[in-house]
Amino acid sequence: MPTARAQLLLSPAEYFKLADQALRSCPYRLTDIDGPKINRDSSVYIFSGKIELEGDFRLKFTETSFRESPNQLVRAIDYDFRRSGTKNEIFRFDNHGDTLDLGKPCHLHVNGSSRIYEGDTRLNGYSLIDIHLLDVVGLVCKFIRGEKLPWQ
Amino acid sequence: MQKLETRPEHQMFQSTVVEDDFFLLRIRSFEKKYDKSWLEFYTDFKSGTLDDCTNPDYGQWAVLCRAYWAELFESSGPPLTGTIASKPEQCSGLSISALVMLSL
Repeated sequence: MPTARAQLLLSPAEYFKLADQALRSCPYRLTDIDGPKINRDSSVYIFSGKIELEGDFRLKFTETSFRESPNQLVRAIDYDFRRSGTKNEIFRFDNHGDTLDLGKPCHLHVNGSSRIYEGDTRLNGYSLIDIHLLDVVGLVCKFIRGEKLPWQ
Repeated sequence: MQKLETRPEHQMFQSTVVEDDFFLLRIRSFEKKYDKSWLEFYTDFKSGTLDDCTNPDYGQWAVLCRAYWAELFESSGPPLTGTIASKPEQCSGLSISALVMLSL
């Protein structure tokens, strides 16, 4: 039985609706979002965009998803949040080097660091399993409000 | 880039239903961009031998290959097509290996 988090990723229409709400809650200035392109049976989609935020920050994201069976999903994700024009990210979740199955963790980069994996003590218990855009927007808003991120 | 003067009440984005060809064309565009067939790419991706594994295109390409590999095989033919006819036993084994590898 998929977790509620996994269930959301298995339901693109609901996921997009909540992602839209989450993005609207961001203190953004400019957006360049390529709305999701999804196939007729909703098993495959790609979704990407860039958002410039107050404080000269920007979030860039790309998601590709394929639902292999009712409870199985494979994804590629890249959520990159940084101060505009800087070399190092404030944080970046991605899965480069492999695809990401449902229930599996991505990895995290912080300020140009090497990969931080699920279970690393620096995460302070924050889980990298099934990370999605809503999580990322939540973290971005937190950071812009001056609050500490889980790994800080 | 669309400038948003005030916070809108409308949606930030809209999803679009596309035909599967849209994604197959994306795969073809990656093949052209990286001068590599989808099969060659996917084999390298799975074996971790790509030159720059941080390239986000690769993740997207790999997921799309998994989603459409039956169509890709159908449209481009299986690998070793030319030799299967002349050496059926030997090559059918290789072909099965390729299929097993791709399904992992």
